[in-house]
Amino acid sequence: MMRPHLYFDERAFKIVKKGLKEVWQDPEKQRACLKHVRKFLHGKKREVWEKLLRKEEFEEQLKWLFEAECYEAMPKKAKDWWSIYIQDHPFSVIFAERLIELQRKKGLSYLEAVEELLK
Amino acid sequence: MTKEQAYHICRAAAAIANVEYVTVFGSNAIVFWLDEIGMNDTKELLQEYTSRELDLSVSEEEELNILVDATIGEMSMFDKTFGIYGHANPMRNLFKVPKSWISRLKVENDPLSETKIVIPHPLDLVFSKMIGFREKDFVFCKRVMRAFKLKLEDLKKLVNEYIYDNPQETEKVLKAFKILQNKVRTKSTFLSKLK
Repeated sequence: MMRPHLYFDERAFKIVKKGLKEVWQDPEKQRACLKHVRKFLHGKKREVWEKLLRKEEFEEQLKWLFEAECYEAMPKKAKDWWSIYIQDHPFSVIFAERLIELQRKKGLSYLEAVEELLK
Repeated sequence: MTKEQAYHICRAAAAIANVEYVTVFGSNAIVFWLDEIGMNDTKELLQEYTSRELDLSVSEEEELNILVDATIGEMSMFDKTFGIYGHANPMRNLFKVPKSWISRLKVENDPLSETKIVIPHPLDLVFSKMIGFREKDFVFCKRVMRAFKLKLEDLKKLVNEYIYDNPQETEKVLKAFKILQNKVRTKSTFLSKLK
């Protein structure tokens, strides 16, 4: 299987949308993600991610993200902004084990499991 | 990203794919050159434009890179545990540079394993980011060119070589070069601190 040039951007776009929705609904997941961000990010990046996880700021940027069907469909200014932050999301905290489980229990390949997880 | 973190990712990728050589590219590959300018962490140079991921390739075969992606990539236990991850992909997908990049690269040994890391020259890292056309790519190019005292004339030679071999991309590459040229000639407060 050949993964296209934009595979990673599009995947991160889906992960971030799904991750944010789950974190906003579940204080425990939110705490775990905030912990990851505080441990591994620094400076402005950490500040931005803390605010995104708490849904405190960046209303416009979140609107761009949730209104678009895919990463490439976002306007240029949205892509320019998200391209700085999107790959530093902390959602391995909530998805890493789930991804492994999908492969083990359902016998899916890694790529199939990613697709299933991000449906 | 520090050099130690980058070594960690490369070592893990080589072990997973059972290969001797790992090629790095993308913005964090610059970490392997930072000691030349007295730095050790990409965030010193790139600030918020640095990231937790290292672009790398263990093979031109997609399957091996997918195996690495599954094990130490985004959303992996490696990412969760260490806060860094590897984006493994065949180079032909993501690293577009003139053929002569091979004459400028360096190879470093990982200090803790037999892994050999193939590292493109800063000028080639700049070239490949420049044609990525994103705002953050131009920031990378500008900061690396200033910090490593790279010359626009040398980059222009790479542009000419690349479009000679890839004439269908002439317009796009020349446009990217023109944008970068204008940005490099514009003064920046951050960059002046690096002088």
